[in-house]
Amino acid sequence: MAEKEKQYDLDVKGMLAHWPAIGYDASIDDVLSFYNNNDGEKATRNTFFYKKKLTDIFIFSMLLGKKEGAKEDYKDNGKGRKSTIDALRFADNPNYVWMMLAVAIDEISKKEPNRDLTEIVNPENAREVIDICEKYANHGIHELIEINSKEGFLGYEELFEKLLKED
Amino acid sequence: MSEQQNRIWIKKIEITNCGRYYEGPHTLDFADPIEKNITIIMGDSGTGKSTIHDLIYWCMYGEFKPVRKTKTEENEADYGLLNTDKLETLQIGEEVTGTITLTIHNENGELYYLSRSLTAKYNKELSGRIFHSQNNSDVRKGTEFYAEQQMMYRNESGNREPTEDKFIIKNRIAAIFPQQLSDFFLFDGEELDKFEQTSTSTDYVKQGIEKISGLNVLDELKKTCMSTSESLFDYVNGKSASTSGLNTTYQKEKKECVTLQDKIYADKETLEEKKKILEQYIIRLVKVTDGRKFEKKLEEEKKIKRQLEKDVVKTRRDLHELMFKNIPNLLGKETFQNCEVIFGKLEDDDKIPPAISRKAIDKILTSSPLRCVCGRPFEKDDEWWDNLHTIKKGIINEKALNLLVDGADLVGRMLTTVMDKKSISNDLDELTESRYAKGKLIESQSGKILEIEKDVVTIEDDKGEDIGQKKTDLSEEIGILETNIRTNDYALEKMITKRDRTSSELKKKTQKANEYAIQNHKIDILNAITEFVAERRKVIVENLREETEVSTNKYFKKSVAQAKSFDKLLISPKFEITARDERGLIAGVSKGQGHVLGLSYVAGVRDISDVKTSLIIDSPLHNISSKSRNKMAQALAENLPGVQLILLVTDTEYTQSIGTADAVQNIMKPLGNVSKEYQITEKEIDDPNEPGKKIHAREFVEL
Repeated sequence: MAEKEKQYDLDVKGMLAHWPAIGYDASIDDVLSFYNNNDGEKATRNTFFYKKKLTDIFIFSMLLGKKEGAKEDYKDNGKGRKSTIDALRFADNPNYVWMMLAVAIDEISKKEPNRDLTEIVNPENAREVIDICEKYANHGIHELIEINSKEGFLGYEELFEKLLKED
Repeated sequence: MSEQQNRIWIKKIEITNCGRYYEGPHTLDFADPIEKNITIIMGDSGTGKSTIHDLIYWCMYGEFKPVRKTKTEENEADYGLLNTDKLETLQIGEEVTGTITLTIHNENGELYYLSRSLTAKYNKELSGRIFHSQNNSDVRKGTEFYAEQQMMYRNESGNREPTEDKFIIKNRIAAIFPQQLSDFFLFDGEELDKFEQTSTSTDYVKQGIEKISGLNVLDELKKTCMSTSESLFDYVNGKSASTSGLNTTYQKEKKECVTLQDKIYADKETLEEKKKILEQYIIRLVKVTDGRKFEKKLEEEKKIKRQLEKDVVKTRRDLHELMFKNIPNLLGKETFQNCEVIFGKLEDDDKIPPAISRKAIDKILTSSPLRCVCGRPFEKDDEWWDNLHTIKKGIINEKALNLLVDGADLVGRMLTTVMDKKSISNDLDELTESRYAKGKLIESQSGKILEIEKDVVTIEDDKGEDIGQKKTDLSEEIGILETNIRTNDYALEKMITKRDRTSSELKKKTQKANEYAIQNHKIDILNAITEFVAERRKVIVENLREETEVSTNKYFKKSVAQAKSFDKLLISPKFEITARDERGLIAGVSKGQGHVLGLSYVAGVRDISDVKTSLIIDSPLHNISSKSRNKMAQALAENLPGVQLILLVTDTEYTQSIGTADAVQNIMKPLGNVSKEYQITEKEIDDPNEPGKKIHAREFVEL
């Protein structure tokens, strides 16, 4: 098991080493302050992302956006796109990397059913993958901020229960 | 610290009219530590050992902060800076001066002669007493105090030159005995108790590492940058016509933040004071039989409540982790399913190996009648049904050869975890029910505690004071204060977010209008410096943590009893210091081993901070087993060569053997580096103001 996980790590790390940094829209104050204030140790003890990472916030946002099927471009012609999350920060969580790839594969395959999957996951194609993920995250972050604004973890509990009740 | 300053020691201490030391000067002489570095000062509890420690601190920094002592009417004499027998018998117009002088040497001879004194003059007779902060005790009204300090130092020609300039004195002392590092040369042995448990040592270790790092300079820089940036920001927005409305909102929000913050600080201070008073009430209460019974009963119920609260925190944490782990997979379920279809198609087309066995297991689970590949029949929900589900969750594609196959496998596994929603729902229900049930139990336990507290109608102490009622009232006040602090903390957090949002909006507006471009540029630079400093701070602390770990290990391994039980010490990024065994597991430490750990930490920190000045330890060997005590004494004697070590010990700590273990004196002296031993003795002298009355004064006797 441990050896296998190592194998994943090596593969994922090798791929991430070629990926550009992953961004979010820092030109939107709420988004910027949410990422800043919920970054790991800086977050307050009773917040959902306490001791978690920027990568966690990005993935939650991306999946919320994808779930809703809504994407959002960067405001102000992308001036607020800050390459804040180094791609290698995802290396300790291969699941997250594959969540991003799955979002991109699903999206691309719908538009181009005959596209070669190996080409999509090729690190040289990372820009396309990241663009899709960032756009979903740009939308999802607003919902995440809303969920997070409820007292305690109430917003997350409501979301969790809703997801569990879905068919 | 330069090589020149590597050996700094106190050559002489002279005390006059301070603490229990009546008149004087009472002198302690020390040898050059390069020959024999240890001096023992022995005295029973309450004889004035800690006073020496406190007076050295006062002499160096002008602050009299008695360690450990809690003021009571009985020990008032130990508590004040000036000798009480002198101070309390002053006639109108008379005065008394308490003085301590330190002669500080380096290898070239005398470096400084530092003297600090406090004079009290009884000016007029007034009724009542008043607390005087410089003397740190209640004194007769009508007494006035004057403090003085003087330093003699060698000038460039090598001659002695006096100065009374407090800044010169402060800077010269700070260069050899930095006040922020005083814990590492004026050490209170009771602090060693903290090292028996990780939970109590963490803050101490953290503060120590921060102190030696010189981070105060960085913190000051950060503070200055932030306040300058803020002032500039206020200036720009105050002037800019385009932002005047928004600026008013910002100023209002800023003010609200400050008001809230002040309120929280004030409440916290009041809370601390009230808690101290409460502690006193409890001490008095348990002296009375009824009070003792009441406190015992109350403490038992509170213990149950605390355990329940801990359980709730744990449940909340489990619930948090359950959500954190499953929400992403649940959100991505549809996407993963789509991907699985795509991957399945690739397998069917032989483009990737057909090794995603989840699919194979699905075939078995959907076969009719249910039958395993080995032919064994099974039923839905029976043991084999569960086993197959478990296997399905854990399946890893052993033959995965490329990234895509790995990905297909991972996506499959993520999907599997959320396919069994029933199991996740069960976990969720269990945790929420447990949280609710425990919440109810806490509520009922709180009610029970309140009832018990109400039962204490009256518990009077030996002075007839109703402390039972007073304690109940104070507990209620503390409860209200704690609630207020929590509420205001939450409100402040929200208000800060709001203020920051307005501030960001303001900044954008002025930048857009291109007004005050230079000032805005300055603000950006200051903010960048602030961020840089914060980042550097993290790096410095991390490096020092690692260095402290290495040097603490060095001393610990050499000194600890039963050293074989420990492989190493670890200081975690959260500053938790733990001893580990060979397997890397936490190895518990005894009281004595904990003390050795603490002392190793102090010695380790001194190593990396290059503090080569004296180390004065008050009660280093108290309260530990004989084996650890002797091991530690030996470690102190052997591990700090050339460092002046002044140990303030009780007779029990030093001269008495325990069981078969030899006395510390017999361990240390044969090692050959104990230079002098002093005994603090009591001397009865006639009170010149009251014939027949005796004064119990203290003096030093060299053994």
